[in-house]
Amino acid sequence: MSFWTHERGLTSWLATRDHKRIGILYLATVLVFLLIGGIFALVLRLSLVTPNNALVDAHTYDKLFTQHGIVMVWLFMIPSIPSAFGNFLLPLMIGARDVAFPRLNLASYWIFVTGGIVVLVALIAGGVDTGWTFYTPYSTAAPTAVTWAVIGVFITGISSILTGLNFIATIHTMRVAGMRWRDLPLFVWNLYSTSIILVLATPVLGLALLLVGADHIWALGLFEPAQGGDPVLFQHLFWFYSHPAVYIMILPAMGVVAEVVSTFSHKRPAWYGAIVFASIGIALVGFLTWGHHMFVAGMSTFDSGLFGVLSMLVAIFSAIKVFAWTSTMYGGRITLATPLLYIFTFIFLFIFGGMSGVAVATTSLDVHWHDTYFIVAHFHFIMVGGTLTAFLAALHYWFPKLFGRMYSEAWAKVACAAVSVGFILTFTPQFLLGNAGMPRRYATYPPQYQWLHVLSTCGAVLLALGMLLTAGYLVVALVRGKRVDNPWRSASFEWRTSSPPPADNFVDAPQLRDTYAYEEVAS
Amino acid sequence: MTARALILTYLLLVALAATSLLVGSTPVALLIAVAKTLLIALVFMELRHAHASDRIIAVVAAFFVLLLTLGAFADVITR
Amino acid sequence: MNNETRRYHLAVWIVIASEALLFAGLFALYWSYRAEVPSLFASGITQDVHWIGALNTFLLLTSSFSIAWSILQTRNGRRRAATVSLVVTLALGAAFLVFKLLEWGMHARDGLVPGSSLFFTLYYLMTGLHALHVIAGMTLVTWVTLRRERDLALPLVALYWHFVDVVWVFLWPMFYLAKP
Repeated sequence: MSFWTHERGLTSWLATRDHKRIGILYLATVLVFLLIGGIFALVLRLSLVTPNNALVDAHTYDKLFTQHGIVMVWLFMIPSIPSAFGNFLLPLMIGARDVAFPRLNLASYWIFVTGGIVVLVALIAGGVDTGWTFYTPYSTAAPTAVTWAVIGVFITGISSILTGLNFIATIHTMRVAGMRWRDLPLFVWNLYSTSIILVLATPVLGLALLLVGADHIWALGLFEPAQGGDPVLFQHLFWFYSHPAVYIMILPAMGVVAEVVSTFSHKRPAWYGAIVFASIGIALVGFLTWGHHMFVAGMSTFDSGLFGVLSMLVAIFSAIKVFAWTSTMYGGRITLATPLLYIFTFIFLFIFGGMSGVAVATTSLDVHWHDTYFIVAHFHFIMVGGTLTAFLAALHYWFPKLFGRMYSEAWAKVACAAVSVGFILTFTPQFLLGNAGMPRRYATYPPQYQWLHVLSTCGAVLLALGMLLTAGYLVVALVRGKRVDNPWRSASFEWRTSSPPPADNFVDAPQLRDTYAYEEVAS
Repeated sequence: MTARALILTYLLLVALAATSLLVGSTPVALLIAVAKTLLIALVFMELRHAHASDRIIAVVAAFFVLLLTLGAFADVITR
Repeated sequence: MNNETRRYHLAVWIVIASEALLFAGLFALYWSYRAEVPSLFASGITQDVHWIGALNTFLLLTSSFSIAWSILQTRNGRRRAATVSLVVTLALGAAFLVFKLLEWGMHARDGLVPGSSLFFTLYYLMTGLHALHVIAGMTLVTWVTLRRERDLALPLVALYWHFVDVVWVFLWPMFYLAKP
């Protein structure tokens, strides 16, 4: 009997302590937030088809891009892969019956939902127009629902910290007997690196947002230049979290890439040690780069130079990973299934976005590109594109694991093409727009930019259609999909138990086995 | 953790606190605070005998507190 | 150390690391502003009530000792002595809060409230956040005092209590002793 049918009724879900059910709850919740954030994005793009507010007025536009950012960053991307797939897979991958603190895990989910609802309340209470970055001094004086939004994000932060804590404790103390650190699947290593960032960076964001909230209510003037305050210091606190937050999103995505590449090449991952080293390296170096968001904010040239150089270090670790993934594929028996196709898109976006990242880390060049569409395109390529394609790869790769059913590969490939082409078409014109001088966060623009904006909007529509198609065939697969157990013939630990897994994960006591034993599978 | 170690540590902490009342200079006051922290962490919090992972967490936490403080501070003093 | 004990110790250390970073944000603001406007901090430190700062340091250091003492007694099987030590810890925590409130009241009477200057905004934010942690710590100490089984929980609560003490060890010189 699988975990789906083991217990029935609404309470058996809402009060479950089973990490698999909590993972499913997270998955359903983040998909709702993806839809909400996606609709905001689509309205923004449609409104930009003409130079003068085709759809919404300027103030609504400000609120829409703010809410798009808040929902996508804190309610979709941060929890997407770690909380949904991480929760479901982590214990399965290390041969545990559950996470270290199952009750805390459930609490973490409900705290997340509470935070999400408070953020949506901010939307109903008039919306927020500060941008997702809540920059002071505007955010402390803005006549919009800033307080609701920062409280909502603060609450989701508590959930992040608890999830990170739970994952670290699980990886340290719940591994199957005999499993050493160097036996851990790469996805687990990436969850571990992400968890370190979650517990160390999130409290700083929480503090920064609380200060904005307190300032907004009581007018403390902590960041108000008229009262002697220094707005740049807020940016230090904000980016101390929000830059590593990029790695909260991308590290689990890299874990998915490593697993998918290995499974669909039917080959042991190349350079296991290097990938592990690079994962931890990114988590640590990611903390040394926050100042590169502040080159034109009035930060000292000393800090700018320092942070610029340190930022480029991340590229080294990232490159190690890209080479490791490609050499895993080299000489493998490759199956071109949908998850791997999404990974190809991931690698393309990652290289392109990463290279533009090195470019914008150069202080002199950043002065030209800062606050233009170039930056928007850069971080959508690497952070959003990376997370989204890896999320979709994970969704397709582990769909049979979660539900025990198979989706339509033919439709999936069509959708994958639409999503990939749509995404690239949306953001490539934005690189050009930014380089030509179009600033970000503007509702209107001079007519010479129109053709690029129209191209970008066409891409966004194609992307939306691809996502819609994905939702369609996955729902069909949930009901009518062929029953399967291990359709990819993966050797990974999580596939060694049945699909979907039984309520306590393994029928017999799990035995330590090599996660990547493709030599045996092949023979 | 022995009675003797606890009492000695406590006396040392009080002595350090008394010293910092006499000396007003910032570096000395901070050094004394660090010394007190080490005493509390190693003896009272039993970090001396703690599992390696707990000790690593303590060191990493201290490092990140310094990193954030110094990162912002370095900006302000070099503007 | 068995697996359960280890798991809980790890969790509490992670919570402490996380809390430390929460305070780190305020530390960063304090030292940066202090470098920007040293005169404000020099005069602010003069205005703080020095005897209360010193007394409160003494109270919290003593409470750290008493909670460590209660662990020792628990390990030696002397439950009653451990309970006495825990009650002393609570009393010291409560005394700390009383004096802190007294000092805030004295400042408020002089018109030194949050928002009156950067120094005092930071002062209230940091000592206020710390006082909230003292209250949280006292809640935990009360809980563990009333518990039948203390072997696992008491050392964990004590870790948190010591952490709250360590934060004060730094707040004391920053707000009462070390003038720029």
